[in-house]
Amino acid sequence: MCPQSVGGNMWSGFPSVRTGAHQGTTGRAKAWPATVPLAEVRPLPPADSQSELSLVSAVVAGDAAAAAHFMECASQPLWSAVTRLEGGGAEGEAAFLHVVASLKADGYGRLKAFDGRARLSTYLALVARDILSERLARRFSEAPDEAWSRFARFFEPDIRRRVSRRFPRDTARSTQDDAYQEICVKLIEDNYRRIRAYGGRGSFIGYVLTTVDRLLIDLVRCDSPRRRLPAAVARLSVLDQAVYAATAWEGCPAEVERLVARLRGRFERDPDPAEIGRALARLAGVVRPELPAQRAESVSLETMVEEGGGLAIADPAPTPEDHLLLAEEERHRAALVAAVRAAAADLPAAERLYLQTVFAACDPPSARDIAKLMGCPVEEVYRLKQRTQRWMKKVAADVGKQLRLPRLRI
Amino acid sequence: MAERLCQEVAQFLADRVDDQTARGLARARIAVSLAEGLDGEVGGPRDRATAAEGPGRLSALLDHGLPQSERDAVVAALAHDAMRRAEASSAAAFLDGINNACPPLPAGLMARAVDTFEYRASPKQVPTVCLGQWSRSWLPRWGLRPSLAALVLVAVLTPVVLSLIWDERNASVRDGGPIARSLAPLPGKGEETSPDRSIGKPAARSCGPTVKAAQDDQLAGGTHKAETDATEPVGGEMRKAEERGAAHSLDASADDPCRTQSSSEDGRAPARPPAGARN
Repeated sequence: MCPQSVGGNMWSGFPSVRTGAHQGTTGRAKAWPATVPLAEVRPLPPADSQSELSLVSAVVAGDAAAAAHFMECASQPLWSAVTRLEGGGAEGEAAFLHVVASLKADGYGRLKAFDGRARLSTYLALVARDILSERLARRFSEAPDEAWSRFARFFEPDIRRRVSRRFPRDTARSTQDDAYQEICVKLIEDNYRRIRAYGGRGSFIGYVLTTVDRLLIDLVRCDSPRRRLPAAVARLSVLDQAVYAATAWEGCPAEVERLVARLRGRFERDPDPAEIGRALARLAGVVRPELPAQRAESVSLETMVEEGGGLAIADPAPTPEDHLLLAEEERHRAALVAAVRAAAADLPAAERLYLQTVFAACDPPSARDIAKLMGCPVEEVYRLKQRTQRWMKKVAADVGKQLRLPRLRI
Repeated sequence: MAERLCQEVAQFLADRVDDQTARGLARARIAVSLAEGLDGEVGGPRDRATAAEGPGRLSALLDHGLPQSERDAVVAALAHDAMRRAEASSAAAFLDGINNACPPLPAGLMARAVDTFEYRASPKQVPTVCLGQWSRSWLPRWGLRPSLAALVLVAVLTPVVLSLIWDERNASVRDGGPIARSLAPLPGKGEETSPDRSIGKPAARSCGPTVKAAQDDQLAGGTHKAETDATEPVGGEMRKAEERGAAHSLDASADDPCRTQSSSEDGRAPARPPAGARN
C-alpha cells in the first residue's frame, strides 16, 4: 500500500479532498492540493479539479514555490508510471528525470494542455507514458537492436493482455506464452520491419498495438481451424466432446482419473468416473487412436542421424478433407465479415464502439470495464447491449439468407 | 457449417461463458471475424493535432470529465480509428495497473526532480540568475583565479601608488619647486594643508557635481550636528563618525582644488542652511 494511499488507490488522485495552504513566494496563501489521495470518486469533484488547475497554472506562470510543490505531489505518481513502463534502477531514474524535464520543456508546454477536466494524476500518467513512448520510438529509429529490450519491457504487459483476451480463458498458459513469443518473432523479423514502418502519424503506442492486434487475429485464424471437432465427434454429447478436446488438444492422458480432474468445474455437475469411462468408450468407436500418444513422442536429431534418418515425422499439413472443410469455413467467415461490414456502415458510433470493445476479446469484458473505456455510465452500456443484440440478430439473419439456411436459431 | 456459424454468433451475444475449449476457440474465431467486419472501411491514423486527442482529452474521457457533446466526438473518433482505440484501451489498462503499484521513490531522486523542474527565469527577467550561472560556469576553472587576483591587486594598488607619487610632487612643490601644472589654484602654504598629509592618506578629490553636493551635505551635517547634539539621542559611534566626517570635510574643503572662491578665501564653510531646513 502506498504511503499516500488512505483507503483508496494512489491514482484516485493526489488531488484530494483536503487542500493544503501553501505559502507562495509573494507571501500570499494558496489553496493547493495536498498529497493525500482518498477513495476513488468519479466524476472529479469541482473543488479538487480547481485546486489542481490552480496549481498547474501557478507552475506555468513561473511560480517557483508552486513548481516545487507540484513536484512534491507528482513525484510519487510519476515514479509509479515510469517504473511500470521502464523498470526501476538507474534506467528508471533516468527515464523519470527525462519525463520531468519534458514536462518543463517549452515553457511547461505539456502542463499547459491540462484543463482540469481529468484528475491531474490521470493526466500526468498518460503524459509520462506518451513521453516515454516517443523516446522509445526515437531510439528504435536510431538503433533498433539496442532498443528492443526496452521495447519488450514497455509493451509486454499490453501484448500479453491482448493475447490472453483473444484466446479462451481456459487456454493453457504455455499456449499463451507461445502466442506471445510468436508475436515477438513477427515484430522482430525483417529487421523490425513492422515497427520501423511507423511513420510518426498518430501515437506510437496505438500503432504498435494495432499491429499486434492484426498479428493476433492471424494467429487465432490459423489456430482455430486445426482445433475443429471432427464431424463424428461433433455429433456426440457435450461430455464426449469435452473428453475429446482434453485428450486430443490439451494433452491430457486418456485415463479416467486424470480426465475427472481435468474436467472438474467445467460443467454444472462434475461428471463421475463411470460417465467419463463410457465417453472414452464411445470416442474409441468413432475416432482413430488419438494424437496425444503420437505427439508425446520426442525424437532426438542425433538419433535420427545415427540411424540414418529412418524415423518418420508426421506431416502437419491438413488432409484433403481438411482442405475442403477449411475452404468452406473461410467462405462462411468471409460472408460474415462482409455482412457485418455492410451493416456497420450505418451503425451509430457509440454502438459501433461498444461492439468493437466486446469483440476485442474472446470473452466479453464486464459492463463496468466497457463503461470506463467509453466514458459513460454503466446503465448506458446495458442500453447499448440491448440495441446491439438486435442489430446482431439482423446481421445473422442476413448471413443466413445469404448462405440459404433453412432457419436461424437466434 | 453456416448454421453453426449463426449458433456461435448467438452464443456470443448470449454472454454465456462456455469453458469448453472447442466452444472457446469458436468464440475466439467468431470474435475475430466480427471485429474485422466492424473495423470495416475506417480511416487510417490521423494526426494528433487534427484529432485534438492527446493525453488531455483521453484522460478526461477515462475520468468521465467530458461533456456529452465532446464525449460523442471522442467516441466517434475511437470507433473509426483502430490505432486510437488500441491506445485508449491500453491507457485504461495502464491506469488500472499503476493503481495497485506504489514503488518507493529512490533516495535523492526527489531532490533531483525538483532541481530539474524548478522555474528559472529568462535572462530578460532576472539577469542576476544568469549572471550567477555564468559565474558558476567559469569560476571552477582554477587557472583563472591567479589572474583575477592579480587584476584586483593592480586595481587596488594603483590609486595608492598614484597618490604617493602625487604627494611626492606636492612635497617637491612645498620644498620650493615652481611646478604648477594644475588648472586649479594651488593651495596656500604649508600651514593650510591637512595634517593628515603627513601620514600619507590621500584625500579623495573630484570636481564632479555629485561629490561636491555630497561634500556640501557633509558640511551641512556638521552644522546641523551642533544644533541636534543636545536634543537627539544619537549613538556615540555615529556621532563620532559625523564629527570626523565634518572635520575631514572642512579640512578637505580647505585643501580642495575645486573649492569655490569664497570658501577658499576665508577658509571656512559657506553659510548654508541646515539640511532639515533645506528640505
